[in-house]
Amino acid sequence: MIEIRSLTVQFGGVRGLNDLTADIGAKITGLVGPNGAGKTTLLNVMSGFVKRSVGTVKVDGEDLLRIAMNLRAAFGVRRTFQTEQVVENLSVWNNVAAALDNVPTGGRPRRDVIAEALDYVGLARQAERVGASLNASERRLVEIARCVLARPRLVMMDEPGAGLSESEAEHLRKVIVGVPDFCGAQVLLVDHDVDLISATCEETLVLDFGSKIAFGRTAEVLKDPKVRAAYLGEVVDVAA
Amino acid sequence: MPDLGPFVIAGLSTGAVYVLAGVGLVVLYRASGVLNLAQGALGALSALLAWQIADSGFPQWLGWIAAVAASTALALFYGRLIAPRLAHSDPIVRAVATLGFALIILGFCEFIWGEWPRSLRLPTDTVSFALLGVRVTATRAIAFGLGIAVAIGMMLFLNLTRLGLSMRALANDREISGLVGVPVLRVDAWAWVISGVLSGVSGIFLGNMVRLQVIPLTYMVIPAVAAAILGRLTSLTAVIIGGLVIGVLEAIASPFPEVAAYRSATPFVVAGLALLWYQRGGLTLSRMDQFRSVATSHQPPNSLWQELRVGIVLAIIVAIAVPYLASAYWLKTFTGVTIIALCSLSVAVLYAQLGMVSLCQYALLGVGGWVALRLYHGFHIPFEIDLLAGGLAASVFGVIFGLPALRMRGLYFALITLMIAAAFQVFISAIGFPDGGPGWSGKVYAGARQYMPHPPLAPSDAAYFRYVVGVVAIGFALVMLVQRTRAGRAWALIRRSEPVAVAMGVNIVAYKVVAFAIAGFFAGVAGALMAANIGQLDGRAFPASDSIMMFALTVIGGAFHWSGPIFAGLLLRAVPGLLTDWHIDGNLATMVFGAGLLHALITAPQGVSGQVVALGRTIGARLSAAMPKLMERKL
Repeated sequence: MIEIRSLTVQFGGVRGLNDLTADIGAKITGLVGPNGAGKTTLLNVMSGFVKRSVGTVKVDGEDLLRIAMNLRAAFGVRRTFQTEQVVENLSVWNNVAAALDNVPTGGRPRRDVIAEALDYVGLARQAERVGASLNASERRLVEIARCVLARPRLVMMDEPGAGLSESEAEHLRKVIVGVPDFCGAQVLLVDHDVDLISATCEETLVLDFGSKIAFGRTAEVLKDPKVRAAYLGEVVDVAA
Repeated sequence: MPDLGPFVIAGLSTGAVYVLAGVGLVVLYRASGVLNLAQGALGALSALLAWQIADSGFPQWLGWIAAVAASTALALFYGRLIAPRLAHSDPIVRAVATLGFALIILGFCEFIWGEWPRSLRLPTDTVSFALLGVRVTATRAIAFGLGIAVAIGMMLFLNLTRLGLSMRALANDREISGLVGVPVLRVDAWAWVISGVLSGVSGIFLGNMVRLQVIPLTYMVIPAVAAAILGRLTSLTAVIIGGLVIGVLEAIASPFPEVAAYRSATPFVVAGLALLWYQRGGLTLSRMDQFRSVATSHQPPNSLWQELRVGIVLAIIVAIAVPYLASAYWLKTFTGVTIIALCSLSVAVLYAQLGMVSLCQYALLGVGGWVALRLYHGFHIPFEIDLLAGGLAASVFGVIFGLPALRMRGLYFALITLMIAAAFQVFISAIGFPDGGPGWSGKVYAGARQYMPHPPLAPSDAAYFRYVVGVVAIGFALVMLVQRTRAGRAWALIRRSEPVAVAMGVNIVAYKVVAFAIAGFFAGVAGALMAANIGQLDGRAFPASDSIMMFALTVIGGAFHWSGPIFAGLLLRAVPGLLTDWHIDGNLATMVFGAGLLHALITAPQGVSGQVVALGRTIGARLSAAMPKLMERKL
């Protein structure tokens, strides 16, 4: 459960986030909005890269913003970035091991935890390959494997589907949908791909200029005229 | 209490020259993102050129004009032809590249003029007036007026003119400025022109007021950097205040005998304190992904055993063969090469694993050597304990002084290490190395100096060479091992991008401290080994320039492969010997090393070792492709 209360981020004269309040309880929640709406800013506040001006964020009842940046992964908040961030001179195995180094394994053998995560995303047989040799889709999967290790509470993904082919996107979709059952974490998914959002997310939060303009069940939210005006209008017009 | 008046006046005018040089650094940094560490070298060239022209019987004013024109032309040359090739690199890379340019100019000046003491006289030296009962020469008055006027002029220029606006835009974002129609290269060129003019003018004043010698003038850039650091490399107001404060503090220390010997360390101490103050805001994450980062090794890491095997075999062959083949002189030289390789390894660990540029590793070598010598002369404990103590001391020393910058952007870390190297130079030449004397410094002032012998385990030169090879091989093996541990993986993440590392739970400062401590330890051990190789160390032999050279040669040798530091050791210790044998001026090597650093940063990030390894792979691949055919032919 993520409870966001009047979260505001001020960048000079611009409000990156404007008095955002939301209770995010669904297993997978979409976060959509036009460029500059504040989606990545919200993720960055949760990661600690951006300081909030006002407001609180609680994850499972804990005040997330009071936890030191580098301890949030161990607490259970994990994320991927818009640009892929696989370490090119480490093997797939070590890329994942590097993430496990800083989170408690819950007493299980490291080897098993890593193997399970790789198996889950479908990279079990690629473990010895070096990061530099991976294609875009494999890199995304390595990043997801790093996030789902050892009991995360919340996995945030920033446009994981960008630039993937049809079949790769299909596999990615399955991997994302399975995350809550695999490791018990909630997923917060930022993406521009409405198909991906509507296929994976039970609920969707729509931001525009840092403010919440709609929040609820994905199908209903995407029908909301305000949302269509702000963001989906063009897509619908093109389709029609 | 002595009368401080004269010292304050003298300090204000020196400070004003720091302001002048610091303003040049800041204006260029703001416009083009390059911290021009070659500014001092350009100044040295101008001062010497002005001297040469006047000395050859031409009018003095012609010399000044030619000097400033030369430094401007050279700055423009670098800014237009070389700097753009690194425009998308990390600011640290752009700054250290200018060190390559500095080395080229430095080698050239030394080649032409040498280190003879000269003096650059200005006609204004003879004109003086009294101020608060102190005689002030017109030169100092002009330096003060000019420094302040230029700084204020630059502030107005940046804030009020169109070109100034373009420069500020460029500093903010090169790509976007280009898109909105700022002529990026032209604005950049103007910034380099300003920097060139200011380096030339400040060079002439410093050549007159400090002394006219190439190396001291070249490294006058370091106090200017200190003034620039006070302004966080951006604020001109802070540079004015900072430069003047540094100048005055430095000068008023003169009449106090307790601190007078250390007074030239003032800029570095002040800059260090300023960084301590600035970092209180918390961790600043470097966004490596914005830049093409320092260069990464993309070769798949070999298995540990594979690498260790090669290393062990090589170490054994070298340890057996070299003492048989080399003359006594060359044996000592190769011992030196091996020791330097360990120090270079310490630079390489930081650079290759974390993208951190340390410009103080040779100073840390000195710290290790000092502690080992002190312990040996004081307590005659076994050499192995001296060795470890030297390593630990250098490690702790490095961490304590490097810590303020570890929470800040990488460029600041490089600069604080430069400050450490410069301060160490001042302190060690005042204190000297222990040689069996009494007191805490262990220095003999009257009587025979004592020497530190080779350790009892390895009394002869040949045995000591083998001993050193053994110790250094263990150092290399440890690095290979650590790379494959949790720390190695954390370093790899930090290299990839600091935000990613933090998001994955890495404590960035802690792992940087670990790396810096390991690197300091190796440098310190190298210092102890060096002390026992020569028997003593010379306090004047640890200038900041050697730490810079150590960095440059590590990059040239190749930081990403274990063979790189060995190449660096050979270049730094064996090549000068060869040049002497062949009667070639060693300053040519300085120029070649400068060009080599630029080459390595721009086109060959893997250095010599990368090229040798690639060549070996190609030959291997060709051979294995040709083998079956040869076999067929035989059949």
